[in-house]
Parts: sequence; structure tokens; C-alpha cells
Amino acid sequence: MIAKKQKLLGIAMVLPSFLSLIILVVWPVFISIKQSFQNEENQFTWDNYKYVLTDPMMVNNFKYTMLVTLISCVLVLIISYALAAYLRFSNSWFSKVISRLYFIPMFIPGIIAIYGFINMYRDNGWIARFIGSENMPSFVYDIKGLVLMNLWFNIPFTTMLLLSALSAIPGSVIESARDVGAKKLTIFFKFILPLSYNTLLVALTFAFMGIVGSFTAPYLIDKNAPQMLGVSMQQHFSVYHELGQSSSIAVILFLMCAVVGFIYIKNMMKNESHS
Amino acid sequence: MHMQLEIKGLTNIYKTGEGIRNIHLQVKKGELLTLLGPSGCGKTTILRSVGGFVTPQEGQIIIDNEDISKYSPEKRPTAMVFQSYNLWPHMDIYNNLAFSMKLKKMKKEAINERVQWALKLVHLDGMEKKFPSELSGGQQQRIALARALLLDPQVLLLDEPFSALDAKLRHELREQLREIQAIQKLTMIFVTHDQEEALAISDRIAVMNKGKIEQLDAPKEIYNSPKTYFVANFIGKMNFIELQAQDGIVQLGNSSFEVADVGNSKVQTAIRLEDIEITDVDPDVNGIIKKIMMLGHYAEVTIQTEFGLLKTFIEKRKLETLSVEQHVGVCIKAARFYGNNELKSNIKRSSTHVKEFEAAY
Repeated sequence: MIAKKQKLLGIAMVLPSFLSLIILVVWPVFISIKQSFQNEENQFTWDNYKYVLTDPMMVNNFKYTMLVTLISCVLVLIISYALAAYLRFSNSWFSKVISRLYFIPMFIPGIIAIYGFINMYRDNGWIARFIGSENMPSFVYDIKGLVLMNLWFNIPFTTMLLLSALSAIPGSVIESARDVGAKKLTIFFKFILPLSYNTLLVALTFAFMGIVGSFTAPYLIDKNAPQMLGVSMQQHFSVYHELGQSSSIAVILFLMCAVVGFIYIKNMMKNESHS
Repeated sequence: MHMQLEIKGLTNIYKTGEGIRNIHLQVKKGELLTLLGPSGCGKTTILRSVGGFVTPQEGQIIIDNEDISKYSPEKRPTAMVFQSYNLWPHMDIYNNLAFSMKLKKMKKEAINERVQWALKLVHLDGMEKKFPSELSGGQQQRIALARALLLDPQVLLLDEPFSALDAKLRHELREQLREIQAIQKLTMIFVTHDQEEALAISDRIAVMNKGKIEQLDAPKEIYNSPKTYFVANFIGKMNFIELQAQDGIVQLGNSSFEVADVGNSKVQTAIRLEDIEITDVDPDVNGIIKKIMMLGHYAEVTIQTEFGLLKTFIEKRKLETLSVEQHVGVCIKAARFYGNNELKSNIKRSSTHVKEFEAAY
């Protein structure tokens, strides 16, 4: 009796989140997928995918999205790793100051950060006033600006992840490596990097997911063509009213994330088997 | 005698004021020297200075007639076994052991052979393919020891290597370490805060306190004649009684002792538990048994006397005649006196002698 009661209680506790998952996530996802295979008369069609995957503008949007995402991810990882390594291995007062400051961007609402960025970096913005607008490289309405903005959004969290991974490497692991004769580069490539590799992968996954589907920053900063997929999807939905096409963009975006997610999970399982 | 390791004037004081001051040490070839002391006494600082992980403010470290103070850890002829987290978790046991030889670009067959040799030495043959997380704590420390031995160190440094293990395993590893040391003729510095461990494995012990070496001696000497109050307190079990000296004479029950240069100051009297005997014949002091604690083949008996609680060891077979609240006589067979942390020499006098002594003045 008691066992049965506990079982029911367990199900009752899971139910709210399970139902909200069904109503708010699974059902809309199902509708979107269905829509992506339908034309305006609600008949089955491949046209939406044909358009999305072959239309020159859309192909450019895909390429552009991948380009922005890859450049941003690589830069975020390099910068965050360097920053985290500095914070972990340096004991200077400067590193202590930085370790208190680096996550501040996380507490600034995205939209405010973007407007601040535009005011600072636009062709007649604050920096241009000081150095002269003729000397100012264009950041706003340009890929450079978008990538910079992605760095702002992603570096703090990525650094936090990597710093915790690097802090988890005991000092004695590095000291014993030095003891057996490993030099600095060897220590980095044979010990620190492999021991933080998993977290690097987690960080990459998070950064990729966040950037590939981003909307606000590319919508406000980037130029009109080519577009990031998030912006393109919004346009197909609310400007062109092409529900099927925007749904198929969403499905493809989801598949891209799923691939990255799959690689991540596969790697996690491989590593789980020996630690 | 050829000195394998010499430490001269080593000083390293931290911002907190802790650290080591002007340490001199010499370790013979094939000797196991233990640095023993409470935490914060500086023993690990000495060890890490020798290993190169701490850069001391002053002093020289000489191994085999060469000053190695300027070298970084990877260039020093030392190897270190750390307290825990010794092994590299992302490498299997084979690679943990082979890594240093791969760095030296040794041939694969030679590496294999050496790895097998090392595994056999620590009785862990056939573990090559396992990962550190699949090994028990004791096995991990043995692999760590094997890895250090594969460096052919001129001095092996051990930083409380067994302290994270349970008592039984600690005893086993202690014996194994001694065995390996005998085979390999290793020179070792062993750091521990466990006095029992130090007494068991060392050739010599340096007892440290507050950044200084209080006494450097063989285990037997350290136990039998602790030179300072700190060492007496730290090593083995002791009864301590604070007594007032009068004109250089300390009265302890019916016995009296003439103690060198104490005058009329207070002295700490230290009596080993085995130097206290329960007796009916001519006791120094009378007391009541308060507690009997069985510790295996012997028992620790606590006796309430006019000097406070005194503890003594009693053999199991003598226990039958004793019980709690029993009145007994206590005979103190040997005592040491410490004034101002230093051992003072003493001569025991009989009671009559003392009276004569008093009468003469």
C-alpha cells in the first residue's frame, strides 16, 4: 500500500513539469514540423525544404550563419580559455581583480548591452568622435560587430565553465608532471588540455547553440543580407507570412543543434567509461 | 660518510610569519630521513624546496656535491610522491608509468621492460591497462611510488604519502616502502605528522616545530631521550606534571631529584607510561585507579594521585589483580625535567639523602 502511494506521489510530483513540457514544447514542436511539410492549402509538400535548401538567398543565409557561429565559437573558446588559464594559474593582484569582474556582462540585459555597443561603435559613435569617423572601421551593420557582440555575450559564461574545470585540476597533477620532466608546453598539451577537454566541449556546445539561434544581436546589429537564420526565420514568419518556410528553417536549425548535441553526448559517454 | 643530500641555511618565511628558518640537514646515501611535526611546522616547505616547488629565500640544496637550488623541478634529480591525487586521471597505468621515459625518448621495448619491472616491484603486475579511478587508494599510491622510482631519483621525496589511507593499509605500505628502500638503496626524505609512522620507518627523524628542527636523531634516541619539552610531548605517550623546584631540587612524591640549573623556577616533569609501575613496595606516591582501557595485549591504566592523573601501561596478565577505584602505590622509575622547553640533566636522590642535603644548609 505504502509503496503504491509513494509511486503515485512520485508521478504526481513529476506531472506538472511533464505536462508543461508536452503543452509548451512537444506540441508546438510537433506543429512546426507538420507545418514545415505543408503548403498554404495544408497539403503535404517538400516545397518548403526545397526553397530553404536551394534558394540562393537562403543558401547564403545558411553559409553566413555557420560562418558567424564558427568564428564566434572559436574566438570565444580561445579567449575564454586563455582568460580562465590566467585566472587559474596566476596569483597576481590583477588576476584577482579580473576574477571579480569578468562575469559582469552576464548581469547586463542583452538589449541594453547591444544599444550600448551600437552607441560606442557605430560609424558616428563615441569612438568615432574621438578618432574621427574616417578612421573608424565599421562595426555596426557588419559581421565584425556581430562577432564582437557574441563575444560579449558568451565569454563570461564560457570562462566560468572553463575556470571551474581548470580549478578542478589538482596542483599535484601539474607538479608531478613537472617532477617527471615535463616542460610548460608538454604540461599544457598532455595534461591541462586533456583534463579540461570535456568542459571545453560543453562550453563549445553551449556557445554554438546560443549563437546559431541568436536573434536580438543580429537583428539590431547586422546588415540585411545575408542574414543569420534566426532573423531570416522571423522575417519569413512575420513579414512574408510564410509559415511553412519559417517552420522548415526552424527544423533545419534544430537539426544543426541536434548534430552538435549528439557529438557532445557521444563524447561524454565515451569518457564516462574510464572515469 | 658520503652525503647524498645537504641542505644549508634554508630559509623561507611566508607572509603569515610561518615558514622555515636557517635549516641545516644532511642525508646519507641510502638513508630514510623523516621530517616530523604538526601541521604548519615547515616540514613540507623543506620537502618542496628540495623538489623545486618552493623557491626558498635563502640557502643551498646540494645533491651529490652539486648545488641544485637554481634548477626547476623538471631538471632536478629528485622525484616526489604527493599526498593524494598523484596519478594522472586521463592516462592508464602504463602511460602514467611510461610518461617520463617517453619524454626522454627511450625505446619502446626498454620502456615496456622498465614498466614491468616497476609494477612487479610494487606488486601490481598486470594493471597496465587500468585507469587510476579503477584502482583503490593504496594501489594508486603504490603506482605513484613506482612512477617516482622510474625516474631513478637520487633523492626520493614523500609528502605524507599514506595519510589518506586507512590504518591497516598504511602499515602494509610502510613495510613495502621499507622493503623497496632496502632493495633499491634509496635515499629518501619522508614527511609525516604521524609520530608512530615516523618511529616505525625512519633511520633518523627530524622533529620540527615552528620552522625549526627541535631534535635530529635516530628513532630510539628521539623516544628515549627527547631533548626538548616539545619533542617529549609530541613523541609517544607521556605523563606531564608541573612542579616547583626549590634550590635546584624537585620533589616528586617520596623521590627527589637534583636538576641542573633550574633554581627556583617551575619545571615540567615528563614520565613515560612504561616508567610508571604499580607496586606495594616503597611507592613514590599513592593513588586510586580511575580507568582501565584495554588496548590489545596491554592496557592503559589511569591513576588519580596528588599530582593529578597518571597513566601507565599494564600487561594483560597483570590486570587481573587490578580494578577501578582500587587504592594502589605508584613507583616512578624514571623522569625527565624540562625548563623553558629544554631538557635538564638530573640526579635522583633518596629521601634520606635529601634530608641530609637540607640539613647541611
